[in-house]
Amino acid sequence: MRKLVLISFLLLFAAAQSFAQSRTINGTVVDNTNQPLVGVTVSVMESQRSTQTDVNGKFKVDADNGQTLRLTYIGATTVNLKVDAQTKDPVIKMETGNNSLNDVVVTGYQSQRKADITGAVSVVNVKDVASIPTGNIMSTLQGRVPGVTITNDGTPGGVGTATSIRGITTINNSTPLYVIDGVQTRDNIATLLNANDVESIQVLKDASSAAIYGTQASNGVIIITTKKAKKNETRINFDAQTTLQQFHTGIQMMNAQQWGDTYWQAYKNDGQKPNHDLYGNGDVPVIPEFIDSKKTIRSANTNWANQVYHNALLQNYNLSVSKGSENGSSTFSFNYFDQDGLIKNTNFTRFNGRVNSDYNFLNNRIRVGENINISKWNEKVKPGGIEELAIAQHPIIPVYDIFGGYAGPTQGIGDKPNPVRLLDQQKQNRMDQWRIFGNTYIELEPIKNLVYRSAFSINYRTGFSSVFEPKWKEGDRTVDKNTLSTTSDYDRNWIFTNTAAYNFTVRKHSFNILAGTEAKEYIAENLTGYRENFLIEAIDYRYLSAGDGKQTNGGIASRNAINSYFGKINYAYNDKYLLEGNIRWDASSRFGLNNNAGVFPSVSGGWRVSQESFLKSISAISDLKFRASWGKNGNDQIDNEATYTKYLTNLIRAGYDIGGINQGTIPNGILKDRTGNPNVKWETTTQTNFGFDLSMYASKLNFTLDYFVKKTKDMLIDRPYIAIIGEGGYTAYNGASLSNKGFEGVLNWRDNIGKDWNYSLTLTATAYKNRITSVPEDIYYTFGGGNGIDRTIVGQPLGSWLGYQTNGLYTTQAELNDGVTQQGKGLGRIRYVDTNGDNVINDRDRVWLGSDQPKFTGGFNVSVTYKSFDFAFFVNGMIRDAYNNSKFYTDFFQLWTGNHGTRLLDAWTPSNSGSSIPALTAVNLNDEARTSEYFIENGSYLKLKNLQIGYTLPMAIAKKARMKNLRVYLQGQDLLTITSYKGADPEGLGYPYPLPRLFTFGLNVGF
Amino acid sequence: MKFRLMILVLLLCSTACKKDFLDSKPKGKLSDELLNTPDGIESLCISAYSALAGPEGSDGTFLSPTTNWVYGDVRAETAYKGGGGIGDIGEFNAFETFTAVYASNGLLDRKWFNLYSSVQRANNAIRRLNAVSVEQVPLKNVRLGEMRFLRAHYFFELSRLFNQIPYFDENVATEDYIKIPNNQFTRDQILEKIAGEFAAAADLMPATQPQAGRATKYAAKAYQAKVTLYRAYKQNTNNTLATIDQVLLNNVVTLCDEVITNGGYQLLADFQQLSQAEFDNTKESLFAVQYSINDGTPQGRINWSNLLNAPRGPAYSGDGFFQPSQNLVNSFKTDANGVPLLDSYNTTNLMTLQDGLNTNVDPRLDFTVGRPGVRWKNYKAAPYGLDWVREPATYGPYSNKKALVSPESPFMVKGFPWGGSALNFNLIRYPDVLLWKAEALIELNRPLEAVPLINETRTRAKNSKYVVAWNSASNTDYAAKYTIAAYQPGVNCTWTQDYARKALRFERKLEFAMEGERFFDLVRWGAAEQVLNNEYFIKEKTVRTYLQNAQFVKGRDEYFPIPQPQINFSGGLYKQNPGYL
Repeated sequence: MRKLVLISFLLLFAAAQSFAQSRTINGTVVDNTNQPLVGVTVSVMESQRSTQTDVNGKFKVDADNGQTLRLTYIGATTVNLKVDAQTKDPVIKMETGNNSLNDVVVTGYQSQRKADITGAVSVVNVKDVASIPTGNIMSTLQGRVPGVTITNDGTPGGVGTATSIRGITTINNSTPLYVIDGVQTRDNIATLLNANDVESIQVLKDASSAAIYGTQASNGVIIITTKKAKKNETRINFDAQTTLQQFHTGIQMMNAQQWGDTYWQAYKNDGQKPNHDLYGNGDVPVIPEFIDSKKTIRSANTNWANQVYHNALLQNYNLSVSKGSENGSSTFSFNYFDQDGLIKNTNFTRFNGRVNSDYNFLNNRIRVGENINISKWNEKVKPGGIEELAIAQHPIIPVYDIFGGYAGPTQGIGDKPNPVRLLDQQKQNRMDQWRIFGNTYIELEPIKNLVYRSAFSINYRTGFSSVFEPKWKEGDRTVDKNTLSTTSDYDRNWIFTNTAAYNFTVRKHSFNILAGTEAKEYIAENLTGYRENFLIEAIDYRYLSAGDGKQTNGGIASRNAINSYFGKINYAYNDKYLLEGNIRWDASSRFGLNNNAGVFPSVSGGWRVSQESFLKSISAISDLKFRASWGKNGNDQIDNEATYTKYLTNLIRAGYDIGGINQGTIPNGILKDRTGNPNVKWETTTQTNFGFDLSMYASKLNFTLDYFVKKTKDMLIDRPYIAIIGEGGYTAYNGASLSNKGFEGVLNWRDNIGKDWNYSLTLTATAYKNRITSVPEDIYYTFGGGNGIDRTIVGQPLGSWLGYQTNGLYTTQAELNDGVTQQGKGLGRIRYVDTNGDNVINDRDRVWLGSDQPKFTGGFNVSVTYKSFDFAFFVNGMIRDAYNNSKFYTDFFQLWTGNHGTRLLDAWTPSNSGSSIPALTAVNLNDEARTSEYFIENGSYLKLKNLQIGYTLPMAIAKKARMKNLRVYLQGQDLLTITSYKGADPEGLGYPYPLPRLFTFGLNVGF
Repeated sequence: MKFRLMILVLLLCSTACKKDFLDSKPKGKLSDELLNTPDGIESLCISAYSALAGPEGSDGTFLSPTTNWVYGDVRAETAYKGGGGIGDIGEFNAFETFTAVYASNGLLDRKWFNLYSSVQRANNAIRRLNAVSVEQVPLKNVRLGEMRFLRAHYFFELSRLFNQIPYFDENVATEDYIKIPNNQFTRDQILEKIAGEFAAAADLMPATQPQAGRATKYAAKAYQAKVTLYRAYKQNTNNTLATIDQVLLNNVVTLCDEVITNGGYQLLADFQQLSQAEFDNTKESLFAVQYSINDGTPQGRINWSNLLNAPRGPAYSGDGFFQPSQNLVNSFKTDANGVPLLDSYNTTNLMTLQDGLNTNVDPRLDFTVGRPGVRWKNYKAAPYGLDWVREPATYGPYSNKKALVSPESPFMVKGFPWGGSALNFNLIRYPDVLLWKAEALIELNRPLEAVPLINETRTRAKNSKYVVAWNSASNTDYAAKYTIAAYQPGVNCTWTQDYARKALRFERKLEFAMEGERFFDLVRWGAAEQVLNNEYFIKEKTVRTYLQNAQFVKGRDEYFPIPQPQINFSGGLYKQNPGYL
């Protein structure tokens, strides 16, 4: 590695020698809006000498009077400047037009012009999502970035948003790496980033663009840059948003009478006389006045969804102040975000403060700065499983009994707790956290274009949670013990990064070289306390010392560290042929000392065909570039201590009352926890990418398409083992492999009609296929849901369902005589398919039934402006299968004694023979809860995700009011869903925190 | 220029840190070497004992209970799964009805794994005990005896659940486990080895231990008797009863006599004391799983196997699993002389409070079964009622009463886990020894000698304090017409070998009802098919609809299938039990 560093300096030295002749021109290049232009090629036509402008748009080139400077920049009109005696420090303006190719894209440790990029990098159009209310910027990008899958739920603050890039790369943690202003993290960005602060987002998708992050890059890298002050501008911005959130994804459940009727019918179908503990045993079900023997719980007709969900408010306020000058700039921003959840008593409140500043000295040869975010957030979380409970709870149960206490289930109606009690109990629990996130840096530029940068980053989180379980009574279930559990914890994470970069141009050859080192340490520790018996339950007494009962405590810690060296070289010939190489060497504490290092190389190339003379004549094509890349990335998201064999003391699993004393201190025992594997190594992902970028009709049309093949091998899995080895036999090892192959593209058209109408249409599409490609022999038939006998997950997508095929229902006697032995078969019962042809339905008939991985995802955004009005809408969707597990409640009376869906009212009967819903029965003789095609539905959907309309005060009027701008807007989120999925929401399968429908009013003012 | 370069190179290399930067030791965990100390070994021994209560601790133990309530009673004619309908832990419903019990059933794999984990906890302690001297660990030999006792117990459980099992000792290297087949030894050979282990353990251990939870010499001898009794009933390879070995039966008698003569055990005065934690580890208990509350764990090292098995409100708020069957309730009926209705007990159903007042019943009925209208232990607010049951329409009106302490007991946890308590679970209690000996004597065709042994338990039941009626007028105003008497050959019965066998088997059913033994008894006797298909299901399904399709398959259902994942891990070395795919 050091050699590479030395080589880079030798090169630098050689280049430096070529200076110091004739006279030096110090120029600056700016765009239409007087912002510096980076990466403009400045060449002296006569001498073939050439250079590029730096981040401040400045360049330095030697030229004699009479020679001509030629400034070229993609999409801009070339400027020729004759050097004469008067030419001193020229400021040159270039008309860049409406072209994104010149956008500077922040890639690993550096920035590049988009036109020069050879990997697969998506640049997010942050403007499109800027006014969508969210605590987590990623949540707004769903369907807008090709190749990026974002799953949202309604958890306040966007805490439940998950992102994956180009399929499921690993069975381990597949969160991408976030790099926020140069600080790497995998923490939930809802807790460290104010969406209003975001200036740009870049997604590094292929191996070559991410390879500079080495072992951390397998899952892709998302680079986020926050807003900084612009040169010579002072700005105050204020944003306010108020949002109403509505619950809109309920499932139609039965009322108390329908439930009784269904029960009666089910028993009649079984040839039994209906007899229910509450509804009596008459000819028809009778709702009793009370549902308990003590007559304290009046029967009701409760819609539990109404008790759990409510309309909720989201508020978001943001104030930022920035000031830029020649020698430095500073920005302060403050954000207050407060979102109540659809589920009662849930909330996320966050306060963010960000400060960044940078200053330069010695004629910009030294630059120092920092970018620090401080956030404080509180969460009120939901009781676990409350969403399912809202469906499952029986409607005959009231919320309260006649004394105002909580009512609960009695007989024959399940044993689920009262959701309202759970919600009330959760209300006063505390979860407060603070985080300091950011870095400070120094940049030295001892000679022109050689930049040495040293940055120290921290990510320090500290949290406190207090969970109190009061005494409670619900129906006849009583708990007369209260308990308090508190946890205090911290994560301390630091990164020390040192890089040197040098770029230079020799004739038509331009080079950009980077070398660096990085060290990183992560430490986490917690302390927990638990106590029972609090005499007084009031909120101010919920501290451990106020209790007087049993108390316990606990604490654990974890640590890992990485040491790295990396280098990168970019080469371009005549703006036409592009080549990039990356290499990173990482050593991690997660792996044994003898085997802890890995090397991750990548190469990529680009050919800007549009620069070739044969295409230059075709004026319709503004730009055409073909790209190809190959590289290796790693994944280190495994147990910190996988290399060690561990034993632990564990009172719960190994303690024993050997003295037979029944109460008091019992001796502790030791058990084996894990078996170490000193030879574990990284997961590696090898990815090949082919793509092209096409820009036509003066950049009105932009089209990017990528094809990728991504192969992950040596996935770290816990080796299952033969049981006779006993507990603690699990050992991490490099086992399974999988692959993802797919296409992703984005097509954009923007134009104007007349001078008042502007519009832009953007279509994104992603299609990929995930497949497990190999699994070790000993778990070939068991890993990933195999049947253990002859069905393996190999060849199937991860998460595939193994189950029974179905062939509708048995509807006629003739069908029943099909000669297949299916225990419990009967009219109106599900007809399972005898896939192995042995005429018996048993677990050998289970086959792979697919998975819920999306086959296609896409988004379509339209934005239109007319004079001062702007209008936009966004539609996204997905094609996939879904396993609708709510059918357990909605379609099968026999599986559960709580509530059921109204779909059951349409169950099959000889007279309702068109129904596909199995006949009502009270006994599950046909075992219909088994995993089968019956539960699998078309889970595809199309959603009107966002619709907004805004009005911006015309400049002239705004100026009079001493404002720079004023915009007001209205918008709606999740407004319409088109789907045939029968569950709650095809976007969130299972029972996630439901996504709200949002209506927002917002305001931005700038001074 | 060169100077600047040097600075840069130095700065670039500044992150080459201290050597141990990349060596992160586990936090809060123990290494292998630390365990070879006397303290470490003692803790490993505790851990091996702890596995009696389930190596999974508080969370998963109920899914592979060590009290055998699912395997021993729900599979027999004595109990239902109970709880919230047949889909509530459907795997157990499969066991109960003997339908769709597949080798892929995850809860069987779990049980298998947990038992072998338990074996290995003992092995881990044994290996390290073997390596130390008596000077280092003065109790080395006693502990070795205890560990061999525990290991033998875990193997015995494996044997009677799965039959064809890999059997090994502590001297197997990890890489060799994969080479151990499950058909290396026959059932007979495995039981012989297990009995031998108990014999060896008995030689190493003292008659009494300073700590009540530890195994003793006579507990080991009693267990040896039990295993020998199982072994005496030889089985064919298709699980059917072949012969009954008279020599082994004589061994059983000898071993039981040793325990009876020298062990110093007695029956508790009152049957109900078996449900009181105050009487844990007293004279009737030879070896018990120790449970505790307020013991430093968050919720107590209570009987997590029974987590779901308390009735619901008002007294316990439980989940209502493990309910006695109608057949079991009927079994407690006695004739006018107080002798069980060995043949006709199941012709009518004893269902209501009134039925109990009209019929003669064994007082153990209301110690064992929660019955509507009957007083529940010391609970004062109301008698046991139908509203204590989770789903009476499916699983009938009864609840398990024996395994629960009275709700006001200081040994019961308040709140969750519902009804959890420090009440021990006896693996061997003295009536076991008496009835094993009686069983051996009867099969040796010495039935008369069995009479006093069987009568000992009946007399204790007779002399117990009966349950009084809810609105009792006096101390003798009982909740049912309790009538029980000892067998008096020639007076209230005709004591032939055949009658004695029936009486013995019936006595075991009543005395050990809901203690997780019944199914294993039926299989040992070769009676499972007859009892389950011809006597139980055919009748029981008329009151419990869900049993319609229940059917015991002879030659298959005596044992569970070998879990498929284990067959896979063995690379096909393990052979599946007969009758399973």
